[in-house]
Amino acid sequence: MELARLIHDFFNWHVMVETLPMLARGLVVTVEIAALSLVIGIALGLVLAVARVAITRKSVPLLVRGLNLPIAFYVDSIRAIPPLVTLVAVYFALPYLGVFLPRFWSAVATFVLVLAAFAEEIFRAGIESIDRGQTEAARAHGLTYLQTMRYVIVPQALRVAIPPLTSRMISITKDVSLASVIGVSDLLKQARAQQALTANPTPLISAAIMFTLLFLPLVRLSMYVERKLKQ
Amino acid sequence: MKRICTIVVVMAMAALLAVPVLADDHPANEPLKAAVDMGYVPFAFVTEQGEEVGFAIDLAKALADRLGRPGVEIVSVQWSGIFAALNAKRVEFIVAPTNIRPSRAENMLFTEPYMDTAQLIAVNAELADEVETFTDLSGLTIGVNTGSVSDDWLVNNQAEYGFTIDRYDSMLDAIMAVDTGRIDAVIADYEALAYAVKDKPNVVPAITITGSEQYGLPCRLGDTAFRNQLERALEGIKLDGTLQAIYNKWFGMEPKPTDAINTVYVGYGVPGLPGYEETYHQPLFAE
Amino acid sequence: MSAFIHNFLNIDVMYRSRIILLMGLKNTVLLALASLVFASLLGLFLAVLRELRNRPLNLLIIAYVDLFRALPTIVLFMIVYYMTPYFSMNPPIFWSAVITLSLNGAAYFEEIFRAGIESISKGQTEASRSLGLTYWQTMRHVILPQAVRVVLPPATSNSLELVKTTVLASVISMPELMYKAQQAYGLMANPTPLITAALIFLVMLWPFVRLTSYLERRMG
Repeated sequence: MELARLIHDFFNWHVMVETLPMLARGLVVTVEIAALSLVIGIALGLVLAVARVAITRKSVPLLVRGLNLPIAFYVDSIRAIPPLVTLVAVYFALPYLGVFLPRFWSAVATFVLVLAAFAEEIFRAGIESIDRGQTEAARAHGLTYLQTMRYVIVPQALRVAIPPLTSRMISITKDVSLASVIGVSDLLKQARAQQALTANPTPLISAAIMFTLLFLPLVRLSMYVERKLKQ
Repeated sequence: MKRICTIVVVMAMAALLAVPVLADDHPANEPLKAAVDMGYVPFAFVTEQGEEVGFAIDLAKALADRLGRPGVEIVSVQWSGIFAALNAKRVEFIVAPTNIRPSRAENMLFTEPYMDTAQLIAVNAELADEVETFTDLSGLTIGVNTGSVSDDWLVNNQAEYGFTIDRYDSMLDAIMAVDTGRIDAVIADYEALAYAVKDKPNVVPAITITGSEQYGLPCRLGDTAFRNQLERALEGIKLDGTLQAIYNKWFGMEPKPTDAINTVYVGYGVPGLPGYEETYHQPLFAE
Repeated sequence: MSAFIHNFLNIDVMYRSRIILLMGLKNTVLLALASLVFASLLGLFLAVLRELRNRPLNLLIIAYVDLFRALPTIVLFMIVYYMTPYFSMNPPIFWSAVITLSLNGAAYFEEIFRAGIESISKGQTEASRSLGLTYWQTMRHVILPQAVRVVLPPATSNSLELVKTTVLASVISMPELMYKAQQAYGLMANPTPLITAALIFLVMLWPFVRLTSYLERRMG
């Protein structure tokens, strides 16, 4: 291994400093996509989970219960198909349906779809883990189904859901750099562009360092939250 | 026990760091490694049968043969990363059509030119009648393969003609974007773009930009001995008709007499650019 | 509707792209299997090493696990691809991809196996040692077999994630299923190959999605 050449090509201080502003711009885009996707995705996931639990009750007419099937198909499909494939399919295929989403929103839409599917499963598992007695007691006290959900079940379910949910949220945030594949100018795309412009791979390492600094605290934080909630 | 494990780990790390300096970059008994951007019709693309074919692939095979190497290994790299792959020694040279540019010549070692080329702008069929000169490009969104010379042309002319640039990771992606109506036009090398839109009724050629564009074969900076040898092989296949036959096969006609494909340049490299050596030498002919 | 079928479920295009897609599928399966083997072995090795309770070694392993769980895999693919030649290794793209997926996957497997090993009570270890078994014998015959049961749900889930992550190898031009689907899409100007690839993944992995849910429910 030629150490000098390795340092010049991958840890070139001059290039790192020169490319930092463009990389920072990319980081902002990454964070924007992540923030939007996380908020909308989790909200949608929660709504879907409650809906699924509500319409699969015995007391619901068969026709309405049938709605569970498309939701189940959607959720299972997203979990089986790699997010990158979903991303590429959404971006390239939608124009044929007459829908022209700019890249940025194509990416957000995809990540929302993906996170919502995973979040739905996590929330639903959480809801179903709450003792039936709670529901019965709440209904006996005169609360409607929706009120029971809102004030009794869901808050408790959230506690159970938080560890797997934070883990999945971090995973989705890391996946945001997949958006570079469809040309979104996120941190990774900027890094590759700078690599081509400076004819030096250092920007890749800069990006790697920035990603690590961004995610390491999140990974540690999620482990901490997991441990705290287990108690 | 603990001590043994610690020693094993330390030894593994030491072995990784102490591996000797890189072996021979151009081993004579191994296939010639050439980089292409697969999908760039008709230079390098995959057929429905899964075969990798194209002008560039045939060119690489002819060169390998002339250099006495046992065949060729085609390495596909996305265009925007192809120079990085060359410098990282993943390939010995780039056989994907690379326009010769002074700025590029500072970062890599070109052989002499082997083919003339031009730029072509193709537009969505709906705009075909409206776009005839550069000024008609005003307000349009033009797609391009990131990092190509077409990209440079767009950047240099954007202020004057007022169009928007949309960058893609491959020429085909940009063409598809025009096909579906996402963008208005695409710009790329003439031969490749003309070939690619032949079977796409929604995308039609509009403006040809002629200049003095030529393709050369980039080698790593400092890899002079290999570049010289490669150039001798290139001159050899120019002079005995091999290269012209490949051209005819893929473009369906004989190249023009003044085309670089029919010209052998004195010395090594591109006259007037960094890396040029005015050294007289013999081309490499087949035995 | 007919436009939808023509563009997304075009039988003719599906048929014409079958060879290209099958080539991709073969590579995906090979990549997934090879990476799973190396990732799980490396993860297991690291987890067992951690039980030695050697402080400096543990710090190294923790650093490794944290780094490879924080770094997005797509970035790792590129770094491995561009850096390996500097270490006198010029692996074919397939092995570049295997190295990347194994390094990444091992970090997750290590955590899974460690949790599994530590969930088996210390009493078991002490009892075995006092019966005269060596450290390695205790591991092999007492601890690990029990840990397997605990480990199965998260390990299946992680394996599924690893198989899905193989598509990232397309960014270093590895001709796996999605890369080939994109080639076919460009060649035929029709997005059906992309949808076909998605369907292939769906059919191939849906059973494992169900299996993971089932295991998680049983052991959760």
